[in-house]
Amino acid sequence: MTVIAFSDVDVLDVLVVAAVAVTAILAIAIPRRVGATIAFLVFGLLLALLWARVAAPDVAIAEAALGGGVAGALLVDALHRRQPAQPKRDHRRAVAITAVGAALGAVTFAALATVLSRLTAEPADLGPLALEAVERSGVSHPITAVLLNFRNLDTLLEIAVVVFAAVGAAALSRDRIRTVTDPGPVRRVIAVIIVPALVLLAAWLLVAGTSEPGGAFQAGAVLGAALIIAHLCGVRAARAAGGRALVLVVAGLLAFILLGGIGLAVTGTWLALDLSWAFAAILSIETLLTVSIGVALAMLFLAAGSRDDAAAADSAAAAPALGGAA
Amino acid sequence: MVIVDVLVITLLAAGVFFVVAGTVGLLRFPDLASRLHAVSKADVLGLGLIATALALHLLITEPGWAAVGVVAKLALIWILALIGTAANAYLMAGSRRRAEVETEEEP
Amino acid sequence: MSAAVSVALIVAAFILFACILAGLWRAVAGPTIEDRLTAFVLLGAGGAALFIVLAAIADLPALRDIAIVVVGLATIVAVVFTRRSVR
Repeated sequence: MTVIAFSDVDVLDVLVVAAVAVTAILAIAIPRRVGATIAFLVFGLLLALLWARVAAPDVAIAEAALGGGVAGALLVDALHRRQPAQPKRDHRRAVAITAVGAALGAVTFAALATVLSRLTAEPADLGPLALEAVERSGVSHPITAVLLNFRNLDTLLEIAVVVFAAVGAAALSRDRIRTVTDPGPVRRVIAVIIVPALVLLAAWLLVAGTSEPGGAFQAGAVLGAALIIAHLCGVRAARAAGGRALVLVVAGLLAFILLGGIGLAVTGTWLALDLSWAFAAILSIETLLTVSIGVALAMLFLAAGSRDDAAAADSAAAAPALGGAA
Repeated sequence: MVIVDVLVITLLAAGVFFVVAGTVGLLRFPDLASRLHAVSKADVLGLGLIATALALHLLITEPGWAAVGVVAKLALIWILALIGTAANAYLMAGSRRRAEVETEEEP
Repeated sequence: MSAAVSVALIVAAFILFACILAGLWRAVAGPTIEDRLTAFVLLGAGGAALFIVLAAIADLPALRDIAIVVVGLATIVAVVFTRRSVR
C-alpha cells in the first residue's frame, strides 16, 4: 500500500503556517475578548497541526490537550468579568511604542538569521546516541525514554515547578470552593458519559506513551480538563481543592524523589534506572505524575475562579438588604 | 476494488459537503438557535460520514485486528462528537435564553 | 491506497481546514457572546474531522488520538462559560 508521505503536501504547509500567523495576529488585534479567545483556541489547534507535521506527535497531543483544555477553560472563565476600562489613547505614544517594537523585532530577526546561517548542516551527536540507547532504557518510545530515563532529572524539576504552582494557587484561593448543587440533566449526561471517556483517554495516553506518542504530560493535561468538567457538572469527588488534592499533587513529586533515592542505592547514580525494573518504574512514576499533573491543573483552575465565586457570594448576600430598600 | 474506491470517495464527498453546509449555516443563519442547529447537526453528520469512509477504506485495504481497532476509535470519536456537540448546543442556547429572560424582567 | 482516494483525502483536508478558519468570522462578527462561542463547537467537530483525514493521509495513528482529545474536550468551553448561571 502506498502512502502519500507527509512531505508531499507542501501547499498545505504554506497555508497552515500562514493561518497560524493570521490567527496569532487576530488573537491580539480583535478588540472583543471573546473573539480574541476563540482566535487563540484556533491558533492552538493549528499549532498542534504544525507539530504533527514536523513529526513531533507527542508535543502535538500535549498542545491540543492543554490549549483546548485547561488553558481554554482559564481564558473562558475570565470572560464574565467586566472588561477593564481602556485608558485614553495617546497617539504619539502609540506610534513611538510601535516604532521601538518594530526596531526590536528587526534586530531579533537579524540575530536569529545570523545564528541559523552559521549552524552546521549535521545535527549534534546526542540524537543518534539517544536513539541507539533506547533499547537499554526499558521503554520502546524514544521520547518517553529521554523524558523518564536519560534526562529524568529535568522532568523531576519540571514536576517540582508544577507542584509549587499548585501549592501557591491553593494558598491564594479565597473561600472554600463550592460544589455545584444542581447541575441539570445536560450536565449530568456530560458527567456520566463524557468524563469517563476522558479519564479512559488519559489512561490510554499514559500507557501508550511507552511505545507510541503519549505519556504522563499528555495524560495529565487530559485528566486535568476532565476533572474541571466533572467538578462543574456536579461530580463531588472531582473537587480539586483542599488537603486531599494537595496530597495527591505532592505525592507525585515525592515518589519521583524516592525513585531517585532507590536508583542511588541500587546503581550508585541518582535517578538511574536498572534495566530489569526500568519499565515498571517508568510506568509507575508516569501514573503518579499523571494524577499529580491532572489534579494540579484542576486546582489552578478552581483557585483562579474562586475569587469571583467569593465576590459573587458577597454581593448576593448584600443584595437582599439593598433590594428590600428599593 | 474500484467499486470500493468509488464508495469511499462518495462518502468522503458527502461528509465534506455536510461540514461545509454546516459552516455556511453558521455564517449565514439569522440567529443563535438556527446557527447552533446548523453546527451541531450538519457538522457532526459530516464527521460521521467521513469517519465511515475512512473506516470502510481501511477495512478493505488492510483487513485485520489493527483495522478493527482503528474503526472502534473512529466510532468512539463520532459518539463523543454527537454527545458533546449536543450538550454544547443546549448549554449555549440555555445561557442565551437565561440572559434574554433576565433582561425582560427589568422593570 | 489508490491515487484517486489519496487525492480525494487531500482535497477533503484542504476544505475542512478552510471551514475551521471560516468559523473565525463568526467569532468576530456574531452579535452575542454565545454566537462567538459557537465557533468553538465548529472547531470540535471540524477539527476532529480534519485530524482523522490527516491520520489516513500520513498513516500516523497519533493524529487520531489528537482527534479524540479535541472532540472530547469540546464541551469544556460551554461548561465553563455557563458555570455561574447554575449557582
